[in-house]
Amino acid sequence: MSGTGPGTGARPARHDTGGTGPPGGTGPPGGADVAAITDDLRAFLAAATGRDELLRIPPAAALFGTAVGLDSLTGTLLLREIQRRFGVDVAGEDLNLDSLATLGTLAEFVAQRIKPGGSP
Amino acid sequence: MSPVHPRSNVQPGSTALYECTVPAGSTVPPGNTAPNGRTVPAGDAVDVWWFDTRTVTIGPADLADLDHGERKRAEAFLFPADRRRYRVAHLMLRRVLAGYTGTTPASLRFGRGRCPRCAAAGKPVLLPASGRGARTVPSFSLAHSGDMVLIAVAGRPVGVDVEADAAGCVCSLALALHPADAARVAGLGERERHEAIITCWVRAEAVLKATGQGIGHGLAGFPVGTGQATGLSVNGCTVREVAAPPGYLAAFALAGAGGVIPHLRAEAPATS
Repeated sequence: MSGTGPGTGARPARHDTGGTGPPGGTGPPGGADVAAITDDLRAFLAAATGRDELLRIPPAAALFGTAVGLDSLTGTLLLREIQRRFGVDVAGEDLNLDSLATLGTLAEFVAQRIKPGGSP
Repeated sequence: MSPVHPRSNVQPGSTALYECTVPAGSTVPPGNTAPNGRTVPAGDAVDVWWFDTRTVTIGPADLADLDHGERKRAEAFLFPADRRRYRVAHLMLRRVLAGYTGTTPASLRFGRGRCPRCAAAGKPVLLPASGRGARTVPSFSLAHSGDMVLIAVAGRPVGVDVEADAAGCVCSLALALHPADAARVAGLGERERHEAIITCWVRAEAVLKATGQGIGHGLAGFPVGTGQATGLSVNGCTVREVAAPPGYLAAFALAGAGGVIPHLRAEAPATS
């Protein structure tokens, strides 16, 4: 499967160097939009796993353990991507934090951290 | 040691189990004989079982072999693919283990070990059958990724991991590895780097699963290397790569030092 690409068309897999921060149109500056971040995280997960259905994860769905059942490798990729794209460190590599409970709580956590004037 | 190539000896889309190369001249030590003839691997032997979820058929009667918690867990999955993979993995786990314990798949009871670092509930363990005469309870480890399920069974703590080739870039994972491994993969070309990172990942995760340490503590505690691993000593475990189907990388770790002998199981447990 190596080199087959994400298969979603939503966001091409990119080599992880030369990151330029938030993608245009979906993130800050100008205030963090939780819905846009949620879509961004969905698109990343679909691209990282090659599973288009992950574009349909509802905000209330648990990402780990139940509902979606992301594995630790994908979870770690997701946290690294959040760090790279939004500059937000979601608790190191700990996949058990409350902020990671659902897609929605994760997006809200990221939005809070990158919102202008919010906590760093 | 005979070479073990992670992509050799495999046929995609088959329920047949995939063979690890057994070192020439080695013998598998005798184990405890189960009533149906399957033995719990003894000494350094590890049984490795592969299943392709696409070729396993399960019906409503099969689901009765799962316990209440497993059935509820399966129902909680959002996407049918995850639900099916979970059901197949846990049904096959029960059928494999039942062959060693001499009991029915449905009668097996599982508990949780303790993480040696934080004492939180850790890896699943098989509980001894109550009431009956004591029989060796095998250690096991279950992993799944993509369409594949991998089960390792041994006489002492064992961990196994399988990962499908990443659909996208995995270079960011290098930061989660031991610095020596991160430095090692940094010098590779992109494609080789992706494979080397996944190689490190499956080895490190296999070690954590063998020791029972939660992956939340990270994989950076020990280097695992990217070269051939046929009996690598890591963190009190012996690590060996497992021949995997195309598109996958896998490894197992057995607690303790010694030359690990993967023990081929040529037949899959019956599926009704």
